[in-house]
Amino acid sequence: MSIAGRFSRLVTSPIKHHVYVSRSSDVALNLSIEHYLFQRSHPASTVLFLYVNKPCIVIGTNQNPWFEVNHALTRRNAASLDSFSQRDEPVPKDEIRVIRRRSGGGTVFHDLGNVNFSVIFPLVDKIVNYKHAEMVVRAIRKTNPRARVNHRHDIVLDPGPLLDESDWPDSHDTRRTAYAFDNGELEPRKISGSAGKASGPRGLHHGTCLLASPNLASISKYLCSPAAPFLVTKAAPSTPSPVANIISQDTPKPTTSMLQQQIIDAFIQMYNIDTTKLSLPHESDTALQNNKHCATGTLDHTLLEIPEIRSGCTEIQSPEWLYEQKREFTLSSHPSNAHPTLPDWFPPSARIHLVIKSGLITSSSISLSRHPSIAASEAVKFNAVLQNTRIIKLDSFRRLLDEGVSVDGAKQRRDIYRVGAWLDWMLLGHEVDVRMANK
Amino acid sequence: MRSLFRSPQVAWHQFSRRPYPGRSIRPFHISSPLAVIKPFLLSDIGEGIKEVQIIQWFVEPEARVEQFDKLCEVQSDKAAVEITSRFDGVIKKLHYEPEDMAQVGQPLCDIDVLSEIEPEDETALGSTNKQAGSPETPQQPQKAAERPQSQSGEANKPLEVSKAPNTRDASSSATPAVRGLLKDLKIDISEVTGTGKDGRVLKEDVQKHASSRSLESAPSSSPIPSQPNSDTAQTENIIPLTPIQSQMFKTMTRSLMIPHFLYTDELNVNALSSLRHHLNTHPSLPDQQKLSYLPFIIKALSLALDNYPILNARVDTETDASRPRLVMRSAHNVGIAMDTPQGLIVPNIKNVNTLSIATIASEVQRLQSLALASKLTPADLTGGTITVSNIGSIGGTYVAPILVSSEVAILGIGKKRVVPAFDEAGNVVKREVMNLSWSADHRVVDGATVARCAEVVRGFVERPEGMIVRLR
Repeated sequence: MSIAGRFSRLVTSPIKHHVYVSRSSDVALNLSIEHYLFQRSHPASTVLFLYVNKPCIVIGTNQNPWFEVNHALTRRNAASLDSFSQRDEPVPKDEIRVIRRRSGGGTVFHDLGNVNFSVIFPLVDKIVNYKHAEMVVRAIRKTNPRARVNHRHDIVLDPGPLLDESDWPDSHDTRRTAYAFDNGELEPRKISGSAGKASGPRGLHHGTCLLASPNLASISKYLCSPAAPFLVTKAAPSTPSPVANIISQDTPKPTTSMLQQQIIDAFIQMYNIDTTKLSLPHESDTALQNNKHCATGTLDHTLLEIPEIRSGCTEIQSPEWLYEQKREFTLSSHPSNAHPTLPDWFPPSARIHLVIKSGLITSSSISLSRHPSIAASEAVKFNAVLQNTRIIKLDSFRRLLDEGVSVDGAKQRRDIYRVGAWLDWMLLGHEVDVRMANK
Repeated sequence: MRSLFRSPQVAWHQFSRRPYPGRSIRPFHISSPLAVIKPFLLSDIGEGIKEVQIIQWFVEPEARVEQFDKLCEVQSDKAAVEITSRFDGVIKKLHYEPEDMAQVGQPLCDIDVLSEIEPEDETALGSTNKQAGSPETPQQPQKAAERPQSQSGEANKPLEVSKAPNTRDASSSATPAVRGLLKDLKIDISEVTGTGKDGRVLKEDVQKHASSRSLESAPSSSPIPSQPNSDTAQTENIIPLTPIQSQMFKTMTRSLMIPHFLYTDELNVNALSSLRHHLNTHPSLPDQQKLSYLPFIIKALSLALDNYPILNARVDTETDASRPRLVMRSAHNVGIAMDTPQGLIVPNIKNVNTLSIATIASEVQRLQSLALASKLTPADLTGGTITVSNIGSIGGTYVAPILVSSEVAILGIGKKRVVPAFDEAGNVVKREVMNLSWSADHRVVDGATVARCAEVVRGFVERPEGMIVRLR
């Protein structure tokens, strides 16, 4: 029997505990394997799944990708290579993918220095319990004793100085550490964010774990979208937090597989799992195996043979899944509640307002002129071109508007070009060429 | 051989209609159950969460559902939770759109329940949230092959509603001073919402909680309190603010932080009245509409602003909070306060300084009809520099209009009245008067400026011919 076949047999069997580690760093595959485990594992079983992804940004199921992510930074757009090289920053080798996961919560950045853990367990009363965060804290404390679970079920590090021995908490208390939670300037640093999902009898709690990310400083740039001040959306926003790596000066240097091993050990201890005759996933690949109480093994892309994993993987990578969920929001150059700064090349009398639903422009109100009646007729012309356009199918707003909207003056031509450029920046992630300001 | 039934109520020849695990065994009957449409309540999600956001619906009205079918997915804090149906039936109405906030304990959707409603299921429909189990009905031993087992526990065994252990440890969320305060007031930290960093509980939070706790024993806030002898008791009906009301609430709270200078004047509109009458009966242009006083006053205001541009400015305290400054604006975008069925809305006419009175009148007309149809665009509602409030069209003589917080002046127009007055010869004559009430931001505008500007406006209104010499 193939590996995929054996895997699906093991997952659906009534074995009570499962420990799987993925060797793939493909976020779409890993999330699809996780979803398969969530949907197909036996209702009474508890599954631990660990994976590490190549650099990517993962948004929550209910979030708005334009609001959360700086698309201009995540795309490698040939036209904007100049603007990239003007800045003194490490240019990412591959494009940073943006993926929407199936659980709630906020936006996170994954890279090879981040360990993802996922626990799937029997649900009681639809309440997702986050007690596995405590399990991960026990694992982290082998390397860094400053870790604890906070009230949002995230894992944070207390940066302050060591407290007096009399103030030390019980070492089994995963919600308090022996360190002060601030030292005047620094707040507790987040090293793990989490999210949950509940469906029928199954609950899922997964989270990140920043071990040693080289990209800490850049994360906030990727997660700060220039379109955010111009968008009005009801989608759940992220709660930004200052982040840190687990590894710091006063800790030894573990690797991601060491941390994974520690998490597995904590899981086995927590449930008192009998692992006789099993070799757990460690540095090297381990074949799928099991005893009466536990199934384990390393997983990789061969599981794509399983139709559900393959179709889930295709779905989660599709631009429709990311951009065309049934959500409505507006993009407005002059929103009613605030005055966000527009670039200086933006035509001062232009007004842009788009209503976007399920990734489609359902209505627009764009005008260039100050004069109300001219503006009204301009809006009609723009709307004729834009209405019902699917944003993911658009190459360039500049070209679409240039070809579709007829105007008389050279000034209006230029203004249309700039309006298109602004929309390209906001919605398509095209970095705007500074030289264009003089066009 | 069906000899595995253990229920004492059911004889061996009776059987349940569907082999669902956990379904209690119902007596066989011939008549179909009556259609009964009930609101299906959003049950407790745990952790004290009171509201969740709808992520997506899996059903729509008229969809047929069976027990355990997915109805919708909601987001509570960070978990995406699927809500499943407890009944067989037909969905009749969805109470929320995707992205709306749904309240725990309130109806999620209406369902025409086709299955029999067991006593323990009644609690999920339009009444309290407590789940009481019924002890007699045992689990059905036959297992349907695909259906998962654990849902069966819900309907049959007496349930303890177990909330997730929410032990927010005091020392990780509050300083020792706050912990002491909590101990003195005998409050549990898990009851207090922390507004400090990381959700930490601050002293103010504890004090606020303590004072609100004493208020909680005050009259309950249930929407329909039942009072048999209601001669003296006050009934309270909680209605949340409509979107326009909440916007008004926020805006007015902001506006009233500005010190208002009030200036009122009574204008003689005899001349304007006869001019208006003349124009409306003998229109100079073929398609000219009927003119009211408003366009004349708006134009007069704009002409006066050319001499007193400070009244068209705005105060900027955001760029540098320690050095507030005036931002002068060249275009006169006059906002017109309108009363619509949904509430107060203020669209504005752009560039009044470049428009004729006839164009202003048609713009007013256009905005009014858009407002009534709720079709105003954001372009109409933003960019205003000064506002005119025509409350006189409803009634009232003196008003004290409230400033829009991004402006420094507002003009309220009272109702036109006919009053007796004396002419130069001392005879009593009929005079038509109208009150203009000005409010200005006294932080940047002094009384003399408002008075002078008001005088200029009065000049144009009482002697409209003065506007002719300004025609371009």
